[in-house]
Amino acid sequence: MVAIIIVSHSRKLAEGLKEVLDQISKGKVKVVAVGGAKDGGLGSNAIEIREKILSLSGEDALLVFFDLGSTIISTKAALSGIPKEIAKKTHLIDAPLVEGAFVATVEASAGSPVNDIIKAAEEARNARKFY
Amino acid sequence: MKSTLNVEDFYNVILEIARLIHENKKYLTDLDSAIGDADHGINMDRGFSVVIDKVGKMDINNSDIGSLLILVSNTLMETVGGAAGPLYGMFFMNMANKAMGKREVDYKEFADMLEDGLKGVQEIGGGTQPGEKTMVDTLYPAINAFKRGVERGDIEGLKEVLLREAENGMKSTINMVAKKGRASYLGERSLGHQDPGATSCYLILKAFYDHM
Repeated sequence: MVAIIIVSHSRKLAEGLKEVLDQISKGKVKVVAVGGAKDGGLGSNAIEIREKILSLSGEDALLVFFDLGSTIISTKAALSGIPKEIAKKTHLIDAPLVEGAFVATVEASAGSPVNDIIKAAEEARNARKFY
Repeated sequence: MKSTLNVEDFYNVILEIARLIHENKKYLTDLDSAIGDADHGINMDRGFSVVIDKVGKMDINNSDIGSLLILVSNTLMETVGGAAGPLYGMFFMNMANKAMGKREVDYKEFADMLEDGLKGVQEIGGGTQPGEKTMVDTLYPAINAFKRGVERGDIEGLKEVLLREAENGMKSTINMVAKKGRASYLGERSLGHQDPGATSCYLILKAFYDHM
């Protein structure tokens, strides 16, 4: 199974997006929210990200989506401290957070191959809201 | 002339870093309010206050340099909150790699540890190079000058070189336009301000200097 990890500066933002994605996937994709600093304020916590990644080590692939800058740095730091075989199947996705994670959830729920899910998620950056 | 650092030196350096960060908490935050989100001093001080707590509980007589640095790394990654957490976390984690199980390192080993730390910062920052108004502008010239000195066998006055290069590097960020991090959104408006990350790096190298 493919798992989606949402990393945000805000725990509420990550959990809110998880709520939306869970409704779409109906349990076919595991969605995990990570967010905020250790004290509950805004920020990122590489140790928590590392623990979440390790807790999903049994999944086929992990796709990580971010909100802004330092969540990416935190995730890279988290990855440097975990076994290589888990790091190898963890993909950091260069996509807008909501649209990208949404498309990935739809694709993953439909059983698409990992590379196709990633490609679709990255293409979400071109998605327009008005036509 | 001293040319080694033992686990107790590292322990004292860590306490000294925490002290310097605390002393400069407002200064770092003020620098960050000019070009960032005004939290660098607050975040670093929060992280290092937990570091002192945890390191203080370590049995330093039965520990090694690598384990000490890993503890510092994990604590910073968990408690700093901003980008500085994982960046300094990587710095100390990479420094720890070649120091696992060691209770003493010579300057050659120390130079390699610093270089590994620098590489970690550059890597997770997205391939950061000098000239982009970041921590790397302090670390890169200082660590490279130190490593070159060690390779030449030029130990005399070498710690002064480390400190001088770090200070020059830190000050050089005043005339730079930010290319990485939040300050990069400001473009030309980031000119004229010293980078807060480059400044905290200077404080960290200063703490090492004080115990070399």
